[in-house]
Amino acid sequence: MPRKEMGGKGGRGGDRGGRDDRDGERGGKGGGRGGRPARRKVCRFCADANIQIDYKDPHMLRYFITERGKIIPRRISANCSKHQRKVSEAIKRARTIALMPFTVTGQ
Amino acid sequence: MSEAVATPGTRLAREYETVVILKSDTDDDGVEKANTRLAAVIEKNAGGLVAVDVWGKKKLAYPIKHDVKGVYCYFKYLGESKLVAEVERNLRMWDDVLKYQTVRIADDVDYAAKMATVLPEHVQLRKKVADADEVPAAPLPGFEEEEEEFDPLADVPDADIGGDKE
Repeated sequence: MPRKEMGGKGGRGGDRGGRDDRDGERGGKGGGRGGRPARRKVCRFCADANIQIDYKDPHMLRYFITERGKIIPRRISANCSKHQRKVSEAIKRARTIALMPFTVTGQ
Repeated sequence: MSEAVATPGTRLAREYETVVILKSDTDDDGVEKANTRLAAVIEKNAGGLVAVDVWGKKKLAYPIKHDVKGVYCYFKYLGESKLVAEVERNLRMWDDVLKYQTVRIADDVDYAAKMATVLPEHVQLRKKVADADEVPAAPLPGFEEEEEEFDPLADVPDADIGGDKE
């Protein structure tokens, strides 16, 4: 049963996202439960108030996109919602002005 | 907000910043021309130039009008929304401009007080076009020691990242 489900998902996501970027399973069999020990989850912007979120600084924002150029979701990047909002806004602004890519394809 | 109820008669303005990408073959003269032209537009429309910067020629994250590089110029100024419309209208008319983006950074700025802090070197071109590409200098503060530790995908089960399923 679960196997069948996964196959379906893979097929749908085929052309667009690529596997590396795919979000976690939803309602699948347990996702991240159990396997590994829990990691610390602290929003790095809350922990260090000196870090500025700025669309003009693509080097910093690079930590929050995948290799494909997608924005990393909050549950993985561990940002709090306030800062994730700012990060995603900054990434979108940086994209508009060609400092960051909208998408990275593997040629 | 507190500034908004300051002394009556204080002129309040908004602070904007505009990033302009010029064609990659723009030289120092072209950049200077761009600068003077934009400065004139801002002045004519009752705005105040606060800062100017040339980031230099950078590689674009994606080609724009078949250009893979562009010369980035940065302007920060005070004014009203009409000024932004006028600035952007001018940029659109201009063939050397590949792309631009304006962002509002502050509301209700005391115009006179802000302009008093502007030094002449803030609004003069210091750096010229020269290649300014990717020198990822020292790691960013707050990120350096975490470099090897922070892997956004580390706590995602392998199945989610989607390795080969076979």
